[in-house]
Amino acid sequence: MTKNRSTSTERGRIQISGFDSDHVTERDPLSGWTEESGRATQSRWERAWSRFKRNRSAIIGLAVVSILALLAVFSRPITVYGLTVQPFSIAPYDPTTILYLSDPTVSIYDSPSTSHPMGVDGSGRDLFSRILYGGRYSISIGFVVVALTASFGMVYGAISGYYGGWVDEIMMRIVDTIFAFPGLILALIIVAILGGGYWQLVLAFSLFGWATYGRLIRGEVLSIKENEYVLAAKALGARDRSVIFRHIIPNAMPPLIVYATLNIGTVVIGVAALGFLGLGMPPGTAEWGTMLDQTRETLIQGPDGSIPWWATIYPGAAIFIFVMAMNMIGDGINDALDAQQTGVGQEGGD
Amino acid sequence: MTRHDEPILRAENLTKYYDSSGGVIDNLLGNSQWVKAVDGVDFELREGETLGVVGESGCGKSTLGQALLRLIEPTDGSIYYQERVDSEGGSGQREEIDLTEVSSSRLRDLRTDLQYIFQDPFSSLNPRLTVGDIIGEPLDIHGIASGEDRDEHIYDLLETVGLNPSHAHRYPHEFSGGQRQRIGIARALAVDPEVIICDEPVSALDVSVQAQILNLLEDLQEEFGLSYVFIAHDLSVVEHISDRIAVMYLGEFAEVGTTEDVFSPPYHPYTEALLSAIPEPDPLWEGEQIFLSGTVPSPIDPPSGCRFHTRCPRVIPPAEYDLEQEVWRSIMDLKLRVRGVDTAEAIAVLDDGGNGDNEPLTLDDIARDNFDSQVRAEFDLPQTIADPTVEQSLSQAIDELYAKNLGAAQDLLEDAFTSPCEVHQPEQVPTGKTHRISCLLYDDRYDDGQFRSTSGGTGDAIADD
Repeated sequence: MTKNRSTSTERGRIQISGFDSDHVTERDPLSGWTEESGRATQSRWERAWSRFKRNRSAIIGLAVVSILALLAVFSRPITVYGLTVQPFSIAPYDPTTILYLSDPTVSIYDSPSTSHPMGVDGSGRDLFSRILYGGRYSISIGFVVVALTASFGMVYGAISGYYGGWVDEIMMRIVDTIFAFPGLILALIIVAILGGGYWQLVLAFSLFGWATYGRLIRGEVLSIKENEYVLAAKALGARDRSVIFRHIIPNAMPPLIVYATLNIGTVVIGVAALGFLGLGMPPGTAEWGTMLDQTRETLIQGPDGSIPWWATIYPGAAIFIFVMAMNMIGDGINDALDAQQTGVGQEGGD
Repeated sequence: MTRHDEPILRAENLTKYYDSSGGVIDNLLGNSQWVKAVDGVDFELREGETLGVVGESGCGKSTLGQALLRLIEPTDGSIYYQERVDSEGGSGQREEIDLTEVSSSRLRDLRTDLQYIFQDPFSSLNPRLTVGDIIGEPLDIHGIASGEDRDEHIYDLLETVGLNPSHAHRYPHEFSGGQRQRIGIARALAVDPEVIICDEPVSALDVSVQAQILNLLEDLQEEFGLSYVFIAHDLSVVEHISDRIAVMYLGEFAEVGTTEDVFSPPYHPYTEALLSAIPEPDPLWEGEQIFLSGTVPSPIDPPSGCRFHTRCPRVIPPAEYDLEQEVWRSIMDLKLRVRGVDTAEAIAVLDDGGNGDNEPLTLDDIARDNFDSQVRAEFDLPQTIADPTVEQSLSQAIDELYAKNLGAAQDLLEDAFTSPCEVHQPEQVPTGKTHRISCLLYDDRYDDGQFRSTSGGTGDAIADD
């Protein structure tokens, strides 16, 4: 160096000379933000809800699902241990009552009329009542299966992604093995082994259904755990458990919720498919897929040459409407949560 | 401020190697390569002082900071922390603990003494938690406060770092970068630490906000008697905040000393180059900026001897030659280039005087003399070097290159031109009471071209100063 720097190696507060900030009384605020303009803090979920509310198709979907669920709940009274919990009964008939036994004016495959708005099925049961009541099976299996698979898959994926290395390698190879088989085939095998029934169906869809969640969450966790706030939590002395549940999983939730919502529809279709194959609920149960199975032959030819379309159209339409509504909700949540933009980087700007 | 003689935090031979192999399969096959991010660093931090650690990107500063707190497990070495022990005699008693030996639950307790401030205020705060919860987290983890007491603590901390306590219910995205960094500082302060490692806390911020945060750190140090390890790449920032500075190059400390020592001669050649790069606001300033040749070598296979010898402008010539410093640097550059290339054509950009065709030239297209002069021009070597032995060896090497005997040329160059810097690992040489430089230029053992492996007076080169 030709000339020595005039370094001021005196340490201490950085002083700005020639400008005494204490004496400046009038100055523009550093930002437009003031205590008054700062509205009440909105949490992430509140913001997502206000965005969701503006999404018309999502709201329609939510309304349809709510109505279907409410109709299912209030279709027939619910009694628990002999105590009537829910006394309302929207459905005019019991879904399993064979009407022509008590009322000779009713015959099988009666077309829709004012007393039977959706007609009568092949065993002489009121279709309207059965469709309302059938929602109890289809919808509840969808929600129960998704709740089980999503929570297990979430924990599984979080552990796999967080610890990495050998743990990750082994856990993901198990998932690969499950992915090697089509999901419906696996469910079929389980139902074939255990027989039909509500909880057998739940088990059939839950036992392997978590794998997708596991992989989804693992991918999210791999990217989230690189964030400095995870290292910060470790630097503060947080245990692995609290790092995972407090910092990692909440940040991995948006894609999980979106997938879970869409997955409810998939499970309902799967249950209906098994029912249609005669492997779901016991025959005669008012489950939408099983109802389709019972009236399968009417698709080809009815008893007197005419086709009783109401016997298949209404259960099929119920499945269609429910799954469609679920998908609309899922898309709405996807937009509201901005699942593609979960990185914290994008938030710097707002 | 009281300063004890015993360093509050001390590292010996701290080493962190990263495995750069592809994964489990590579590991099984034994294909692992080690990135030597931090390679045997000795280090001490005294109570109440600020130690600045500077170096360019990728030299291992952040790895050092995180290894010191065992946020990443060090590969080797020990870290000693003087824990304050509350004895009946008062609070002055301290007890030394080796952080690399303690159990994970003990380490968790020690996190209340050792804290970390992160570089990026945008990714270091969890976007799902309110500011109150972010600052409250250490209080929950260590059971410091709960209920109303916890809220009280959080409000206090926010006020300490210059934020409004009413901000406790807001989310990080509602704050600016400077405010977020203040939140990060409040979080580190929540456990009432003794030592804070600041990992480039201001490099993500505007210059105007940098000064605010640096002043805040200064004030907090005074108020709470904190000791800082301040990692930065900006010498002018480090100059302001540090009592002592350590200059890091490729995982090793090149120079350690008080701020005055580091900013004034004698310099380590690397520090000298860094200092010459500080922009000076004086328009009449006629500094001579030192440009380093080449790029930072890969930490996977760092250079032998002194790690800086591949770029050092003051690399030592062998004693038997009488060479100018620039010429010697150029010869070293030529040698390193020959070592790195696959074909002799790649040594220099060949030019046959511009006959117009765009065909890439081969050695057959140009005469030997032309090749010679072009190689010399590429490396800024004079057409004839004054020292006849050097000239002879260099001509021979260029002959071999022209004959496309890359290996032979390399052997010739390696035989004739080997700097002591390549061979000998420099030790930290005390050049003053508080100043140590790792450079053979200042090494007593290396004197007038002779290397004495055992000589008096240097045995305690790493001794306490």
